[in-house]
Amino acid sequence: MSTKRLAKEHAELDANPPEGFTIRLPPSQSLHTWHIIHRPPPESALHPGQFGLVLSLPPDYPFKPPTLKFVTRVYHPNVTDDSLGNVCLGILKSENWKPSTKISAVLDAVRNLMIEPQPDDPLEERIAEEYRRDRPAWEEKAKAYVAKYAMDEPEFPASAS
Amino acid sequence: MEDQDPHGMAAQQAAAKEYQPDLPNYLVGDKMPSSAITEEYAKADATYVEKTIALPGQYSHYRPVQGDGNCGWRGKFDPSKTFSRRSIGFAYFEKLIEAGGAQIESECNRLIGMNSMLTDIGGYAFELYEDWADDFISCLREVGSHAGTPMAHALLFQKWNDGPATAGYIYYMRLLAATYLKANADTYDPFIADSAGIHGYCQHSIEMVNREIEHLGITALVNVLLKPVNMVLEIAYLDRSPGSQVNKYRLPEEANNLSESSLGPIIYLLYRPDHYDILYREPQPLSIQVHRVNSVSDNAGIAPIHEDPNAFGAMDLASLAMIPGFTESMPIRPSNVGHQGKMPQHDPWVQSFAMPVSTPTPPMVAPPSNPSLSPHSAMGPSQPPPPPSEASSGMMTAAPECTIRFSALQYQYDGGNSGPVEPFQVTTSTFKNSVWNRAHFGNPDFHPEEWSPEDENMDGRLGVAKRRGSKRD
Repeated sequence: MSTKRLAKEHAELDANPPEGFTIRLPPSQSLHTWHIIHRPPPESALHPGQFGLVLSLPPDYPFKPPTLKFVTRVYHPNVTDDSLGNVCLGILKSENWKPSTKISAVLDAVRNLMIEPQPDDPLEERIAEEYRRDRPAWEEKAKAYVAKYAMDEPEFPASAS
Repeated sequence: MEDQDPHGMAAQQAAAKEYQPDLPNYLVGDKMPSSAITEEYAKADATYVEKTIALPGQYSHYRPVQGDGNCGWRGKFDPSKTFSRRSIGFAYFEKLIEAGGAQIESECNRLIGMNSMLTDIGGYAFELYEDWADDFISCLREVGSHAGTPMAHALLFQKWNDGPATAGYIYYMRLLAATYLKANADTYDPFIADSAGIHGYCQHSIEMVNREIEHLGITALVNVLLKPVNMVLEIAYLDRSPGSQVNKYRLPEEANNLSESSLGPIIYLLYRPDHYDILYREPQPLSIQVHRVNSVSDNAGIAPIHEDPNAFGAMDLASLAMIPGFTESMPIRPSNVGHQGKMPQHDPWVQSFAMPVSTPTPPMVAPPSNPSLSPHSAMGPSQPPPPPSEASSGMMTAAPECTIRFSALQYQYDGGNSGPVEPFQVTTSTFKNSVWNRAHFGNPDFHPEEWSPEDENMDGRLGVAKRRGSKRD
């Protein structure tokens, strides 16, 4: 059942991807793992970067929320500054998740988060503090990260989970 | 001891918390006599004891149902997040099956017709709910296509135990309920303390997978799903409130003042503080019995294979041989029969254990004309079993052969009459292992069993049997 809905959502997004997003399915994998490349719009401090994200859809999707991870390092209050790239998105929290939430809404939330970080709900307390207190310093480091990690086409791990 | 090991105590308490009273593999369990609930509460406090003792008189059966509030169907069972949609949904299907295929078809059409309401009033995009609606309706149709047969209930049971699928059914029911509330926002807004009103309630409560159902949600579901097909929901509350019986409440409300006979099909639910199970009022024809009758009549078609009387003879013998001491006194037909009768002679263990296995399955023996007879009485038509008196006389005549000495006189008498000692005739392992067996070392006339080539070809044994058989004729 979930695959029917997944297939439909994928077909929609594939035919008409939201601005700034490219969606691919990793070879020889089911619809339950999506490779997403996001290019934040110019108003984002992360602008010229290309960020790879892995969207994992549980077998019981849409009754359980998908999980989202950055494969590209990003200097951001809501993304862990490590190789895991965990990201905190309100609508993906299990207490907020609704089966009627579509993946396109998740992508919208990602775009908003890249334009406007949420320092009040941080995963990286230190970066959130810097973002609140010294925005130019944060922007500088964020751009340095973009230059260092996010200028090339992101590489996805072979067995992305 | 527990005090010395608080850690172990805490661990035990944690284990008790996670204890699942229902079969964890079944979302919807088997129908059981509601006396099981009485037993469950036998040691609870007096109110529960009194109410559960009265329960089987009011509702004969119940069906345990797992909660669906916790969105994980196979995940950890969380009592605080259970609710009744699964129970209502399953019982609703059940009642529709009983109503028949025509009713199901019209109900499917009604549900399909509600799709536009879900979109226009509920505000749910068609592509979001169409899978759930399709699954729900096609499940109903599929089950309905078997209406009137036991298959319908079996299929229903299977469908509602398929976790991912039922998650969809239940979410569809949530959306129906939410849509109903939104359509009647004016009526229900005052019930919501929140300023967000009914729309906010739907958004934050009904549309979430892990929220418990509340009275409002049940009311909405009854009104949107049950009322249009004239069904009534009756909830029996098993709680600590005073009284000798469970308190009952019906939805829709107006059904409370009407007699049961004037109402349509009633879905009964048993509410316990963390649980909703399905109750049944009348003992429906037990499906187990239906299966039994079916299986016998199915097999009846196979029975004519045994038209050969010898085949029946073999059955007779095999079955009777299972009765201790019967082999001796049985008329044995000159067929493969003798072989079966002979076997235990050589090895009592073969008799005790292998015999029932080598016997054809009893129901297969049943002649088509007597499908209800038990395996033993089923032999009657082809060959009457020896009357009890004969059987006992057979035992008597067997006694001398075994040289059981009841008195010195008898010993002489036996010796005079039976002449040379006959081949040893022992049929039961109990006897063979007793001192009355001459082959037992404790027997005063101990004489070990001897192998003879004739035994191998069962000649001696068959000879005796033939003689006995002719005597009886």
